[in-house]
Amino acid sequence: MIRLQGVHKAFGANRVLRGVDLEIPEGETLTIIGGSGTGKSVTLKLMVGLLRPDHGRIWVDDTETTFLNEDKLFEEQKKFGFLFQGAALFDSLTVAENILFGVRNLRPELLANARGVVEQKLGFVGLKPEVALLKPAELSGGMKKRVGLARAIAHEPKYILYDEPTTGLDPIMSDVINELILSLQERLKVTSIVVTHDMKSTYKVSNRIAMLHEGRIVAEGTPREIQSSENPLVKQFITGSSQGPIQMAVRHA
Amino acid sequence: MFHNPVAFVGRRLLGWARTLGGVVVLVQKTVYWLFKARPDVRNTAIQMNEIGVRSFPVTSLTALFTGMVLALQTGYSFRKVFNEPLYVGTVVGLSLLKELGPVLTALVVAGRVGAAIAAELGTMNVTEQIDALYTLGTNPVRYLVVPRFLACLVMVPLLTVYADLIGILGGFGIAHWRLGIPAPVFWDEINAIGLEDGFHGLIKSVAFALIIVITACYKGIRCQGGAEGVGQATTSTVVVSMVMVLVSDYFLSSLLVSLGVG
Ligand SMILES: Nc1ncnc2c1ncn2[C@@H]1O[C@H](COP(=O)(O)OP(=O)(O)O)[C@@H](O)[C@H]1O
Ligand SMILES: [Mg+2]
Repeated sequence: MIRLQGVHKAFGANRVLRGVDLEIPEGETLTIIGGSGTGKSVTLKLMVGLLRPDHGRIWVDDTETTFLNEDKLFEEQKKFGFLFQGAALFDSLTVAENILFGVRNLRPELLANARGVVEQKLGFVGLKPEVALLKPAELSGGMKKRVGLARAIAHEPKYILYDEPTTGLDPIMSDVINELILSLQERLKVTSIVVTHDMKSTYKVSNRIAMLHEGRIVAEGTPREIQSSENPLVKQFITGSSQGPIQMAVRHA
Repeated sequence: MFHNPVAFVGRRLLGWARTLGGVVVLVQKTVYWLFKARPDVRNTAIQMNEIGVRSFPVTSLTALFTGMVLALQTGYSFRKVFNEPLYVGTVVGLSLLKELGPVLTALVVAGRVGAAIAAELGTMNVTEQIDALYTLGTNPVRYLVVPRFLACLVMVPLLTVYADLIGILGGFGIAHWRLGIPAPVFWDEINAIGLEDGFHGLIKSVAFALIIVITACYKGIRCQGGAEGVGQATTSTVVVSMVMVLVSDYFLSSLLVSLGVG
């Protein structure tokens, strides 16, 4: 279980999160939706401890991680796999070295069968073992995302965080990624938090949806509840209309 | 900015204080990881090659021609004054060992290595690779900063010694073949230079290495805002570290001289 309580986070004068409350029970797939720049990535980074909240508290299982020192936080971080928006593969390492990177630090016992780990994880994300020897620069966008996912699950984490897993991919590749998220959920029984503004993907993968707007969670519910929501913010967002209470800055001052 | 000069100055001061604080924290973390865990041998070796070995050609060229021009200028200037090219060996040797060797090497390294470090770490930062390191159980300071720190600290002084030698050889070539100074005269003057003059230069080169590597790592790790941010981080690393090398050179020299080192 992951729990956020009254979490605030600002960067200088930019108050990104202003009291976020969220609870993600075991086995659930929660999707956080919201416009660009509303702080979705920041929320994910707070959960793993990449960022620290200014106010509020964060729990991972029974441990409050808000003020943990780096060594103790490291123990909690082992429980997470993070798929970054641009995959964030290490350019200088091969695909296999990328996949084993976290295993080496977090689950060294698995290294006895390093080759097996690489092939199994690549298989999970639908890639052939030959890919293992390529460098990230030789991969297409969709393949990068899949390798990023293989790397994120290699140390067998309990929680998987997906930052815009389908952004920038063609519709078919997006669906492939959605299927992967679903199959990981079924096969590995992981708890997932997906951040996206792709509604098709949201409906497909989520048990529950939360909408982030102006630093707070403004709506929360099952996909069905969100789809039939009367909340004007939600209605505008899921229909993708420029008319409504959410005002996007067309030009920044 | 023009209506309220007090606020402007205040903001600037706060900005500097924040930067200084950030630098201190980075240095503290670097030293912590330097002693807490065995440094990453593979990465350190890669960086030593990148920083040291691959800076050889440009350092050689810089040092060789600097030594040559020093000998030429001293020779002709002294010939005007004394009718004879006196003290060429002494001037070339002392200038190189105490000033030009360390400073020119540092400037070359700042341009070549400082820029590369800032660009590489900056790119890793804006593409979230540094965050990825954290989530995969690796401290970025340990994995990225410590190897570069060690490599600079070892390689910059070595490059400096090498630049001193090449520069003196260049100076000797001109002194001997162009100015007609007998070889024993030149080398006797070089041999007369004290060990502490060499130390003077080496101590400074260690300080310059620290300035360059810390500036570059700080700018790279703190870099924000995509490709543009990486460009800015790179440029400002070169400018800031070059200026800091030149300014600190004066103060370090005067400190070392007052301590009797050189
Ligand atoms: N490390 C950081 N330093 C400064 N500002 C940041 C940082 N990370 C995010 N921000 C700012 O926080 C806001 C929310 O960012 P983000 O969470 O990435 O949005 P999104 O919802 O699109 O993922 C943006 O305005 C961004 O500029
Ligand atoms: Mg984002």
